[in-house]
Amino acid sequence: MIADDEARASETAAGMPRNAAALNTEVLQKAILNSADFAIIATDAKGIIQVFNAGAERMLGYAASEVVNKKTPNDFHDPQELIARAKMLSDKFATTVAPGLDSLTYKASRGIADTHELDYIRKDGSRFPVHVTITALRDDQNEIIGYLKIGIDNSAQVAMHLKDEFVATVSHELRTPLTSIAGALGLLTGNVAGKLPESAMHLLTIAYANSQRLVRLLNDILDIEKMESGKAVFDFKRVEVRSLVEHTIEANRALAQGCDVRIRFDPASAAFDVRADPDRLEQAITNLLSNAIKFSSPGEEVVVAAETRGDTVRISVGDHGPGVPNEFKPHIFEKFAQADGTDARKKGGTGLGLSIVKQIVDRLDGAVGFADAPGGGAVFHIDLPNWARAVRLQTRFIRKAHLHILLCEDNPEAAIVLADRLGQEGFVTDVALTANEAVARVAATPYAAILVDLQLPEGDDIDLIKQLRSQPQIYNTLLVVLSADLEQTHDEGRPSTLLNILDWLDTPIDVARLVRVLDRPIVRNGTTRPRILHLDSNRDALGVVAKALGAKAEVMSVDSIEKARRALAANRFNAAVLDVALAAGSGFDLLHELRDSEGDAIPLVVFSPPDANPVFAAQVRGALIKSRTPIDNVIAILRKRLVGSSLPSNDKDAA
Amino acid sequence: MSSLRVLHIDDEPDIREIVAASLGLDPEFAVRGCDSGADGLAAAAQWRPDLILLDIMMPVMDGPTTLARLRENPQTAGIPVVFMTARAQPREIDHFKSLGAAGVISKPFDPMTLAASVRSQMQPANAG
Repeated sequence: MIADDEARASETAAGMPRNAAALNTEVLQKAILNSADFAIIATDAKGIIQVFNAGAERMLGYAASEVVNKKTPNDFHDPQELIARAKMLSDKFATTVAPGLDSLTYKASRGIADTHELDYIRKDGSRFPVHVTITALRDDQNEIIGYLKIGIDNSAQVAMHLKDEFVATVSHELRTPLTSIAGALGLLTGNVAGKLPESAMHLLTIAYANSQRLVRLLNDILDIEKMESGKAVFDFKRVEVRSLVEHTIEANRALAQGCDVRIRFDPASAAFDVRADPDRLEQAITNLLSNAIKFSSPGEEVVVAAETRGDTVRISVGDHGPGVPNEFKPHIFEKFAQADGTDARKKGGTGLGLSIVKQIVDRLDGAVGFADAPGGGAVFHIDLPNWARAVRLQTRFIRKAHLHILLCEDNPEAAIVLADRLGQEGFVTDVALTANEAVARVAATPYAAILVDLQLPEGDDIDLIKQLRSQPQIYNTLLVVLSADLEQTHDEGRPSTLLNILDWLDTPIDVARLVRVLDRPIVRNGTTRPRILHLDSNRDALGVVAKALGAKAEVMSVDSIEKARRALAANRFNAAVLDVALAAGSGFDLLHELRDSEGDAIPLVVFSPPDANPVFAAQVRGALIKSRTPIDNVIAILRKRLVGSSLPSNDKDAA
Repeated sequence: MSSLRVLHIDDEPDIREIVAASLGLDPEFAVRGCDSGADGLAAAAQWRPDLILLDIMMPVMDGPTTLARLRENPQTAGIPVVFMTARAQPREIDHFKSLGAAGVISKPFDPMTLAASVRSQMQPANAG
């Protein structure tokens, strides 16, 4: 009996444990079918619905009994959308596709993967965007006996995208009239149009102050939106806290004087460094300062301090105001949270300041908190890991992981400088001075990353990238292209960029290889669908790639640099596919914009004409040379892609 | 006697008027306004301003495109251009500078100090 069961189990699912096999057959199928998250609809070959699961019932508002044997999936679609889809398919396949069921099953019936986005129309007439996959069901003779259609409700994603766009648009649309209003009021209160009676001046001053408050509100809303959507770019640097705090205090001196409040910087504060984006950290401290000033009474003092506690740096801002009411404490970092709205608003607060502080400090790997001040008032603080700790934790992690780097650099002096620095960071570095040496080393050693200087001897550089990328053993290896002009320091005046090359392919596009390349973990980077920008002047290529990648990624296809810029301004991308030989300009003109939310180069697949084209090669080098590479940026991208952006938490307390 | 010519290109008439009034506080400035990139290109070639204030978001021809066209024409290629924009995060300022802008003034601006800001953008050009 037991033997029989086992035999049956192994028949049904060879190689699976018995329980899993049982799950596989009935329970699992039932669970999938009953899932409320997928609308699963199966039809017969004529398109008449045979299966309509719970998810379909929930999403579309019909009971299965209302549609099985009675309706076709056409009934849930907008006829106009089906006509458009039929036209698109007719054009693409140079045939005539009817706008009914044919338009939905045309591809599936020919064995072509079909994933697309359309609207579903509910029983009550309302509609929602849905991501649909259609598969043909075949019998043993390979005859089509029906179609399976799985739909995922896409509203949340679409709504989120619309919200982001809406906030950005509203902020711009409001800012335009506000610029005129604030400008006109500023001129009037400046007596530019002649001396005004005191009563008129009083009213104008009120109007002007409130126009300024609207500007602050707009800026804060835009900041919050950028932070929440991940579009805010953080430029991590070594920052000296004391001078940053002093600078911030100076910038807020006028506000304090206007409220008759003094700011005192605790003289016990010494100099320490942290790893942070200085602009954002200044913004966070400014928000704490302006809060403290607003809640102080005239004649009172705001005390700012910076101190180290172990390997943590604490920046604190204390006031002698009314303090934070107990019932409000849990909500203080929420948006538009003001304990006593009338009081704070009277002083021009937006209700977003502390929420922005929290968002910023979270991104800086720090913590924000507050306490009651002795004798009344509140003390807010920002805790950040000090520089030494931030570096030590990453270095230790890198050493432990034995990460090997190959540096392809023809200039021995530059190679020594960079290899030395990489060694200090914990990386084990090999140097290849020629392209041949690089290929030989790659065959012998598994590298975590390869750095290529794009100024190897004549013609070697782009070929080397292509050659390296065609080696199967480094298929998943990070490949970073840098320019020879490595700099020890940041040159603030010049933008810096590295190229993070996933692959460098010849045109025309090999779609299968592209799909494989973009399916690497380095692109997926999490569980959500990656967003990919594809720039190509060839519209056919755009169409083919969008279809091929559509199931796994959200592809934004653009055919000009201007459109690419617009897409980059409005969206965050996980990777980009660039045809660098465009009719007008080169995809490399976009180099400075192809960055992630932290300002680092996003993974890139480059397409270029197959023949060594000297003009094109010069273009590539030109783009890289314009953007010199600080060594710190090289280290940062290696750390981020090999170690991850956040530190391993189990190392947190180690000395 | 006006000696510093500023060409202001912006599709919003009200903002053009405010900018003209603000810069007019400095008697040395002569200001001319244009409502599109195309008009701006023609005015720049003909009037030869000392500096161009250029809006970023304009219909038909936006600020960056207008700047690129100005650079293509030898008559206007050397005129310093300052962008006026709502978007002025540090990284965006870097980006605009990489396009060849001399500087960026964010909107809304302070009308009482606009002339001084514009003057400070002119200094490097005058010095060099």
